Amino acid sequence: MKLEDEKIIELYFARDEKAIAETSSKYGSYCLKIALNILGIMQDSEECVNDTWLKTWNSIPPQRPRIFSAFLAKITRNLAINRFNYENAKKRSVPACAALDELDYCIGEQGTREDFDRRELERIINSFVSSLDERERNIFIRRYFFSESTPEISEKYGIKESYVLTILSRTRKKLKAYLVKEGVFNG
Amino acid sequence: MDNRDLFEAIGGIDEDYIAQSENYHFKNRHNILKFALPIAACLVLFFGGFAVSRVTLGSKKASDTVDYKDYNGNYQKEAADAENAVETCKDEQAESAECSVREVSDSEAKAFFEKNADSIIQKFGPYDSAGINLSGYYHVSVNENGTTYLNVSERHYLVTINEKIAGTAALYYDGDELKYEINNDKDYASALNEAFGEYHDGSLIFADYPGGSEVIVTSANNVYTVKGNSPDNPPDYESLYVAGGEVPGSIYREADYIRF
Repeated sequence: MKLEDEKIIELYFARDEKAIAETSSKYGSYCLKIALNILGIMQDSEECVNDTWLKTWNSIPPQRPRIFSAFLAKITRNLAINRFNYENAKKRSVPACAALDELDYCIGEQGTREDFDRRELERIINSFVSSLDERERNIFIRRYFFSESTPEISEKYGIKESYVLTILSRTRKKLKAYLVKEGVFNG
Repeated sequence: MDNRDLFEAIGGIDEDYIAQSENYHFKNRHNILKFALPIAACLVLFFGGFAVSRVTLGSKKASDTVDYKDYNGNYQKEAADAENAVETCKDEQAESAECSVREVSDSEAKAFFEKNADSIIQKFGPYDSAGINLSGYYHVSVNENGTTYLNVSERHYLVTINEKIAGTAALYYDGDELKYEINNDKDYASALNEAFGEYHDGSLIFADYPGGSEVIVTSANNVYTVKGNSPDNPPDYESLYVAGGEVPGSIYREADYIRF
């Protein structure tokens, strides 16, 4: 019987190490999938998930996650991206490359302002995501947050893969236009 | 800033949206049964004054919109309660409104492609002979009373190069502006070619109906389909069904497809 998220979080606040076991039991596969979607190598992904538990242990308290699954997803994704950057520097091909290539379209050949900080870009992305309709938003998040493949998204939502591809393509165009409007690019 | 900065910034998406994408169910807006039963549940709630605890839809519950998968792979189902049924009705109303977007007519499509065909086809790569079939396809809904035309808001056209399917071009209105979107994904085109081979005559219809959907390619004398497009029933491009005969069986009623 898996504990409810609130009770797991209370274990963290009580500094009870059972918190990690319960988190791993409930969200182990979930976090592993996120890491694997980015890294593509089981061993690296498992290490990334172990790092997630450590990071979570160190973050709660003081933080109190509002949505525990999303909180864990963000940590796992960030850790996987850090590892991805390291692996990519070694020129190893990893699954996230495909999603990155797709996002290249949104940047294009245009010069971008160097003074854009990460927090400002996050605000713009959040504003953009909230402007999308529900379907576009969910498909966008599955592809570019969770790095799921288009066949996976197609199966998850029970829609044609061609429809997923169409929506993603259209959303990338919208994102590019949105970035232009927000002054991310020079000129 | 580069694509990696963008990718990293996407990590800052609001947690509510991330969680929603886990639980989201892509509702089939043409599914008559799914539409009718939640409405019925609302009426029972309104007039009967008691909560509807469960509404069944075949082997599935009408509470599909609140089903979720726990993260270690075990499906957990929550019973449909009254509040849920009301929410579903609201969703369906919103979906209906969404269906009322501007349609693309045959003549508009023809005029658009006559003007833009070259630039569209260029995006599919080098070619000796290419074409966009103006038969197109769009979503249809089948119910027990026959075929109903729905959602003509977006029309898809097969693009062929040297008689092979190279992908599709979708035509739709964004406000008052007619736009197109191509799908030149090689895997998708390859799947269509493998499934349909020389059988296609360039027109293709996607049919949505209660319980599933199909991709349909028509020819002068037959209707060919690829069945399945749902998590429980994934597309099977290996199975080619031909109307009116074995390979295998009669699976398609003539009334269920539209040629135009």
